[in-house]
Amino acid sequence: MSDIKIQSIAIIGKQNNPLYIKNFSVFHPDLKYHYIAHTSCDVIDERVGAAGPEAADTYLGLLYAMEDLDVYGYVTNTRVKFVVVLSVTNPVKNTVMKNLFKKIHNVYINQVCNPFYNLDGKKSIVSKRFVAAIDAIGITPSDDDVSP
Amino acid sequence: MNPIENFTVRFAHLNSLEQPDIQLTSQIISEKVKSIGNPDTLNDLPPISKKSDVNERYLAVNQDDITPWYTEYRRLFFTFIGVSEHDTFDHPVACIIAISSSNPDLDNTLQQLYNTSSPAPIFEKGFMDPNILKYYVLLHDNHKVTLEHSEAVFENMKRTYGLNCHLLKLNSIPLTTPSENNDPFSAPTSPVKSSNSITDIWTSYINENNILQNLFTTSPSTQSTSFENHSRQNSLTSLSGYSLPLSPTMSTLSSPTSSFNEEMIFSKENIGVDSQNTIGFNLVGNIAPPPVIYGQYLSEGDIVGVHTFIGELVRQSLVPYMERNIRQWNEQVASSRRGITGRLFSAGRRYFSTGPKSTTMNPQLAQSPYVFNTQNNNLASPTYAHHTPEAQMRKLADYAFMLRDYKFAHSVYDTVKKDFSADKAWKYYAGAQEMIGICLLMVSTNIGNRTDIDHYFEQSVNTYLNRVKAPFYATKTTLLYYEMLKFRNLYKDAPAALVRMTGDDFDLRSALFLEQAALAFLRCPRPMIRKYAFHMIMAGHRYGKCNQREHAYRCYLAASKIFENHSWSLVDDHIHFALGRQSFYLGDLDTALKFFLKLLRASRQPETQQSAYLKEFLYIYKQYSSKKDKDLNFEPQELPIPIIDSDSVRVVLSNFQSNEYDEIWDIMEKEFLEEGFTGLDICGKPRKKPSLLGSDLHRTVCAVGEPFFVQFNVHNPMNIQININDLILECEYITFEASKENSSNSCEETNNEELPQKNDNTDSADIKLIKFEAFDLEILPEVCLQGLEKKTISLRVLPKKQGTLKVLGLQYTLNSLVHGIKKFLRHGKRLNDTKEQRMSVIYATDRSLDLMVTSPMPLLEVAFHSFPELLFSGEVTKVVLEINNKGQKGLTDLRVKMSHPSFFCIGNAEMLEQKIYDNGSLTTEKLKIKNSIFNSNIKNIPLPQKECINSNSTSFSLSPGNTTLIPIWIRGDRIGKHTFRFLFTYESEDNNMAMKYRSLRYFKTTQVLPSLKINAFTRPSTRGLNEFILGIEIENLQIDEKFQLVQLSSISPSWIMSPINNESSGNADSKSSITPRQTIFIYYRINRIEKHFTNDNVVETNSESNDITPEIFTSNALERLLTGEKNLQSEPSPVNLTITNVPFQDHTISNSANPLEGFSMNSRVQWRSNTLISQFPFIPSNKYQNIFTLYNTNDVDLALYWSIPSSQRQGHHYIVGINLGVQQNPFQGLSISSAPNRALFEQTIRERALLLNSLTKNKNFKDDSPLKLVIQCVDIYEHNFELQSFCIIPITISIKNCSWNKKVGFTLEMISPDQNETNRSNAFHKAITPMIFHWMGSTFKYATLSASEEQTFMIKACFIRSGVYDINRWRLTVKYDQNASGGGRNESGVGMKGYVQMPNTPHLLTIINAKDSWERDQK
Repeated sequence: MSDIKIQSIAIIGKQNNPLYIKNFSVFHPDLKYHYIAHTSCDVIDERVGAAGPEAADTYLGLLYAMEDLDVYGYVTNTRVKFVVVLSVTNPVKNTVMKNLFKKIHNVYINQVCNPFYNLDGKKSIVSKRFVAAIDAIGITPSDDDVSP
Repeated sequence: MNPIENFTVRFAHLNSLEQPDIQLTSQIISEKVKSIGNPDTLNDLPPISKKSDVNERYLAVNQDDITPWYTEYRRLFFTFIGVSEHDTFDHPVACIIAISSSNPDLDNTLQQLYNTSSPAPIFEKGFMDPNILKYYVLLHDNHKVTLEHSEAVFENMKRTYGLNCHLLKLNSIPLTTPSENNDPFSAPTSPVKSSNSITDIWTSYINENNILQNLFTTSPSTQSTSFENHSRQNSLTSLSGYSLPLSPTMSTLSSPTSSFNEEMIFSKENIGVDSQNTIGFNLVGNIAPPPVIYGQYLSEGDIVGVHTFIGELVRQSLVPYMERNIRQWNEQVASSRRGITGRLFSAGRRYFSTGPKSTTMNPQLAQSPYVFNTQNNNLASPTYAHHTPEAQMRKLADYAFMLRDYKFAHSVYDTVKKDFSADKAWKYYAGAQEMIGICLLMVSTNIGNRTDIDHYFEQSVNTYLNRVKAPFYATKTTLLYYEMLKFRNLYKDAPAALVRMTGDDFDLRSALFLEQAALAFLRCPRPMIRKYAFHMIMAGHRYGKCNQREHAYRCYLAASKIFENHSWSLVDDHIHFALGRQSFYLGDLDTALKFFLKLLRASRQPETQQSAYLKEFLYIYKQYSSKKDKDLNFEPQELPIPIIDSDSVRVVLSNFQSNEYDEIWDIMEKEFLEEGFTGLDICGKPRKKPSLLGSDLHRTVCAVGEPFFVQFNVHNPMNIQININDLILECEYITFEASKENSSNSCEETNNEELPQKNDNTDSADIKLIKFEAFDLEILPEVCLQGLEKKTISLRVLPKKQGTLKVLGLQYTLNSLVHGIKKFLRHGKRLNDTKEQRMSVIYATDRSLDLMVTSPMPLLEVAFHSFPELLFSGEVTKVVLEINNKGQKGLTDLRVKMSHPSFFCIGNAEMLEQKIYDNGSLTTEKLKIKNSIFNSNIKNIPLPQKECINSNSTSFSLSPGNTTLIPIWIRGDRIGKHTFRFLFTYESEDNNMAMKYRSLRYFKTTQVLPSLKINAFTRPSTRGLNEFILGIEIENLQIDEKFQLVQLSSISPSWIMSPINNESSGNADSKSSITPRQTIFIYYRINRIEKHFTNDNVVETNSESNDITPEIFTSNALERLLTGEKNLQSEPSPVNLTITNVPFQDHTISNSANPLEGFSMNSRVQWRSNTLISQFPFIPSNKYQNIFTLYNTNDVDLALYWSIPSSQRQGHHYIVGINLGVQQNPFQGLSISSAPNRALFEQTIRERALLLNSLTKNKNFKDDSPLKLVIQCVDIYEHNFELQSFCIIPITISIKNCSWNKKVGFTLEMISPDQNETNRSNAFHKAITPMIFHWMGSTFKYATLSASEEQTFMIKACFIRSGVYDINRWRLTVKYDQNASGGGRNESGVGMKGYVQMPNTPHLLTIINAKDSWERDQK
């Protein structure tokens, strides 16, 4: 269950601007995950667009694989995108990923609930609480299952 | 069989079939790729920066045209492909043997040309079948031999070699020359081109070949192949070029049928102008080949002949030959393999054989140049000889493919693939897989299962790469696959295929492929621009690694367009860094710097990265500057660091005081402008009103010789430390003339023009000034900014010439190397006037950095010494104001406008030592003052008298550098925290046209605490008509301070004050000190000044001709105002004030000395204006001084002096505005009807009516009866009722008309108590049972009183009993006679007004029966 290894978590705004990109890997530079996150916007756009206006599922599944990395995507109803990069180990169950994304989504919702947070701003998120929460998700993934 | 369209044949020299050295070819390819720049087609297209940029127009462009370098790479790649053992597409199918008919020994030559016993070296390797179709061509040149001869030879040939023969007629000399001319070498100077198109194609092809040839021969690794080259050259220049017009180039996959061409080797003989081999060899053998034009003499007929020849060759010999072979191999090999037995056989063969028996070839074959790292392979890859069934199967499939029987080819490939796999002949296996994929792609009309196809290709590529280690063939496979996908518009699959090939070290190929993949993303059904960008960046990276700088730059640039303005800052930095580096390598230092400058910013990069950026930037800049130093136009440029906050840039003048922009100052300045320039100045000259005071909002004015500072904030956005050196402002000086003409004829001072004298100039050695012609600038040697640090920097500018000085920006050197400049960009207020301005954001131009330099000016500096921070309310202390002229000129006409004028009194320099409460001896002081409401806000500050230079005028001024001290007294006038603002204005002695006045803002704060609370009340005294009792209630509000009352003074034009009873001084002490939280009452009597005083006044006023009382003045003025008279310029006559001092203790305080007089006047003015504002809101306040007077006749002001002995504080309170006169409307003029109602505008009429209404019906003024009545008689009367039953007492009634102007008629009715008792409402009378008495005689009295007239009656009252009587029983009916009062104007008697007055206080008279008292005495 917890054998997935999160390399990076990225939150991308609705204008495809980076809101927060966290690199958990020690081998790769941040830049790489920035590129990956940016590139995933294309795939997400394609998936979301293909699903039509009423996208049934916010979880988009595996977006693409690059070298030894798997990129998973999730899009909120407000078109905020979450991208999680995993290093390829064993095939990951969708439920695990869904739970992971749900957790990220919750953290993001907490951030958005801050009345001083500018939703349409292009600035990256600097909230300490948010950063800490994302760190917690990245370091100990799905140790405790979130009841859906 | 289906007809085959567009059947293409390829010709090559037999010796050139071998694959050329792969290193060499890749070198050639990379040179070629490098040489191709951006195609023109891209110039029309906008760079791709968003999805919508991938539009129809972009997609309409052929991808090959977008990347011509790739096209070229692909072409060259297939050019150099050479033969391989594992596929037969490059194996010859047929061989053309050409010979000239002029050859004398035809047979022998032919034998030699194709000798099966010694074939071309390529055949020796065994995998190529030497038994191929031979086709003999006899060349006929009309100029050498006759046609008959050739035909005869041809017949001979036909007999020998069968059908595969052809006679080709060619022309080798110009047509213009007669055909009889047999000399082939008489080359004409101007050859007639028979067909331009043909010769052109030849030319281009040959030229290119020459270039390639040069590359081969010049490169050092080509010695070994030099011979080959010669022969190769031959064949390349042969008909393979000619095939171009017949079909598309072989590598163009525009139609599937043309993709794989048959191999035809046209060897041994050139078909060209040169019929002799030797000549051809010589010509092309030259390293620098002469511009020989091949085929230029070919006639139309010749070309048709060649066409026929090729057609015949293909139709009659080639295709039938291939079909024959297919049939034969199919029967012999393939069918046997397809059956069960065949399978079994092959299986058995596989199992029972010891090894790959087909490795018949010698081992060095395994190390063929196309197979890398064979040693690495655990087993050498087997090679099948041409006669082995596997090789034949492959050939069969290939032939089938060439003849476009893809399904059949597919099945054969599929079959033979298994054998290859079983034999671990991986190269063959990969080739078969590749071909299966291609077949599938060719066959299927709708590509349903693309993953399958992709799978074949992937396997093929992986096998080539991993098992065979032959990336060359993997590349070939990928290229073919990609091109086919492109052709079928399956761009979505292309990137995956291309990216597969980018893992290894071949950077150029990887780069090309990545770029193609990126472009393919754009051509997907949904363009994926981000993937495009990402792959472009990877491509750029690979290009950079293989030194293809321009391509790398181009890729990064294209990608940067996508990331632009999308706040992917980390990515942006990476791209900019790459772009900067690439352009640096390309030698474009300007661009490199441009990109590096983008990196110097606030970013999320770690410190090390930022410092690396900075280091690299500095390094490049060093190169740049050393290069540019030779050029003279070396301009400093805008640097992104440090950030200068433009909003923070401001000019600080040396006389600047208040930091913050404050509206109150503006208001004060505006008021000063309105009020301060009406009168005469100190020299008696009228003041000229300047348009603006001091520093206005739009223009800053400074004077020559006065330094000013330019202040700004610098901010380092990076995490690393930066140094800024040699900070100097950039200023521009414009002379007055130039600025007037508005011409831009400016002499700009830049660093280049630095004047040589650069020395320490000013008082402090720290400040370095650089001297220019018109100004000096301070240079700051170094400022060090830590990471993210913010600093405020202030630079000094000393203007030296009159004119305009513009502060443009800042010049500096970053880290002692980079010359930078920062323009100060400031904008003014946001405009909000018009609609457009409101809709968009428009700013006014800012002129705060555009200074006007005027001639030298005085410069005021003020300081307050011993300014109190805490004051009690009413407390007075002395403050010393130090005035310092720091300017260059004398300072004069110093005035100050204060926000709290009632707090301050300004003295003279001589009064410095004067005590505040000076001892005086007089109990009554007299003072004559101007009775006008002066404006107390603006005060002159006396300056020392100047030593007279010009005798005629005495000027008061402060010469430069001098200081004077002025005493200023401050009194806590109001409770609370106050910010006192002082607006000083002054002017220069010299007339300075540009800047008449200068101003200085100054402010101080003080808190005023409550001290005493004082209430005063008056009551008419019963003792006389003009007497009042004054009661004062004083409460000590302090908790721990004991107040000592010192003196009470009254200030009035017509009233004096006296204590009610002269008590002993011992008692006075207890009465005059108030302990905390205590209240005391003290009482005084107020009398009108004795008549003789008035008489004196009258005498005096008579001597001064037109002295009128304040009331008359006001009334007249109001009347004039009402009639709309413009000229109100009149001043009230001066008033004589009498000051009565009633000291509590021994010493008296003189009230007329300056600080106290000033304060009392201040508070009087303040009070008066405030009441007037509330009473006459319709009269503008600036007219007060012409309408109203400061004092009215009956005004009384009181001043109560106190001291706190414990803390040495003293002060005084004022009680202002006690009016002891009768209340009367100050407007006593005409009635409404007389007011002119003719006016030009209705507006004015309405305003006038309003004004009139406010005057006549002012709620604040209800005319009281002007009459005062007092009854006087003895208080106690003793009467013996026994002697006389009626006690008759005379009672004096005095009636005075207190009005100053009205003649009044009255009826006095004396009322007896028994009458209308019920009417009486007075509580007093109700409480006491009325004692009845009677008036005697006439109880009615009629009389008329003119203004201020007093009448006294004697009336008698009759009492019948002893007792206490209220004799204040009367009714006074007052009637005006306005005719009389109005001075006989046009009045009827209608306007008579009346009052009824009744007594309101009892006047008690006690009648004592004398007998009773006598009896009492008796007892």
